[in-house]
Amino acid sequence: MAKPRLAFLTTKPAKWIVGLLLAIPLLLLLIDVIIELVNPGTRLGPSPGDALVDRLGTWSIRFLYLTLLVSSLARLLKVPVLVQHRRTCGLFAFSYVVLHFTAYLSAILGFDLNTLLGDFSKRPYIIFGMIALVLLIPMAITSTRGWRKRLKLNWKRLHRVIYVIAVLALIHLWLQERSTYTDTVIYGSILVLLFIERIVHSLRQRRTRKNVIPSPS
Amino acid sequence: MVLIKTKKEIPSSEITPEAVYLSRRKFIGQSSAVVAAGALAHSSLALPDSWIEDHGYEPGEEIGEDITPEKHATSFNNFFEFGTRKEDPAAHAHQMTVEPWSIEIKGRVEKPGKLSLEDVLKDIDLEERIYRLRCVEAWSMVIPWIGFPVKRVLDKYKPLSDAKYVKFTTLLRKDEMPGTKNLLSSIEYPYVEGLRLAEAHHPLAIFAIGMYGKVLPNQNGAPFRLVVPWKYGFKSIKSIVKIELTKRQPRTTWNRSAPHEYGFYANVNPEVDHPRWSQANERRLPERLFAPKRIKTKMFNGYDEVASLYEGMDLKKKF
Repeated sequence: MAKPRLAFLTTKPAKWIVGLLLAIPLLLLLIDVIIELVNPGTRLGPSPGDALVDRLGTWSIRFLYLTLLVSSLARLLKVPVLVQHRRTCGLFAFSYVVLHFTAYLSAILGFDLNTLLGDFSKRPYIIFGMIALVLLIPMAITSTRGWRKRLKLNWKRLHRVIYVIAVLALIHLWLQERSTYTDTVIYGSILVLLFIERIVHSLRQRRTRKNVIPSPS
Repeated sequence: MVLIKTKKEIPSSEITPEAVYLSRRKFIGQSSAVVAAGALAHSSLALPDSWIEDHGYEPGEEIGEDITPEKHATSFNNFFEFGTRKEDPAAHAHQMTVEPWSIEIKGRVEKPGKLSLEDVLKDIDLEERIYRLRCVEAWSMVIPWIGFPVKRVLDKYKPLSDAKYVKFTTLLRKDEMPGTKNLLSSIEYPYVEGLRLAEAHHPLAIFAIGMYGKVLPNQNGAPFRLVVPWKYGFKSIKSIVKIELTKRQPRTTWNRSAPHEYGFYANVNPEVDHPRWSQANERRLPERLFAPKRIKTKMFNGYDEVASLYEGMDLKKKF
């Protein structure tokens, strides 16, 4: 049972509020895109395609890591109901990634597929990004309750792919660094902390199981 | 050739009599303290905006390509001393003190010394050059610079016969340059660039002190920068404080940071790709959103007249 104070978190309105909060960066970006289209050069600079792809990419990795953070916070703060919002975060992450790729295709490549193929061989970071995007698709599809029930234990296994995706996203970022590793170090440290929390958690679980001492709850 | 310019007739009424001109210089000298104190709008500029206008310059030859709007050329910059994002230099470069400014000339020259910007500019006629600027990141702009050939300055200090290279160094002042405090930076400061002396002597290579009819904004390399239009933009070093004539090839910043990605020559070359992207095309800025302007990159950025500098060289190896 959720603590009464936190019961609100499980309600429908709470889900709507979380959804709206997570959509804020997208709405702000949409406003910039509209103003940029009406009045070129005013919001996204002289290279608006790059600016758009860049901003969507930044939000993609943030939401990806936020999704991982939700589970950690639920454990650390002992608020399991938080996990109910993990799916919303994950789907937003997926949406940002899809938009990031779509913006790259349209605003940078102008749907020039030859350049895309050239980019594949010339720009390894694009391959890492593409694999991450492809791996996200089955996760997004099976994110519903129905699929969760149908897949049973396999659902958990399948959704562990998120860790691979998180690492791929970091490599995608790292390979593009030119003069400083600031972003890689920041996001890398966050990812390391998220991994440490999981390792500590699973070690603790294993120990509790071994000792067979009922937890005093 | 680009250099042959049709001199625009200047009515005699607009030509400044020498006495007036000299007194203006004196005024500039005297007013520098006032400029530094921030009494003028552009307090950080070494020369007041009107200086170039008052001094006059030979207008540049049109190249049949649209000039990049000034607001983009002054707000989308790479000047990592002020941060790595394109908007960082415009946001932070105002912290750089450019008045007074002195330039040290040393190494294999007959007359080394430390000179004020005023000394360097003495007896030099300004001219406008409308040049394509091709960034190694595969975007380009067209910018009207105001400056003078590098050779004009070098000749004044007389390079010795064994001088083979020119090494340029950018100002390094950590308290005025937030980007240089980044501990995770993979490039070292001060920023250093270099040319072979023959390249520096090419009439297309200029020192610029202005753009768009005004003195350079800080983010564009005020008060004194190099512009070498047939090379990738990073060769055109900004805010120069030191010019050194050397016998050996200087170790330049990007080349030291990633030698397989950035060569010493860094001539614009559509046939030599950057390891992480193609250099066959470039995007001419500004672009409209969802309408990228991809154009073919030309050898030497279209400045074929420099080809003779590299005769007999394998430019795929010496990239």
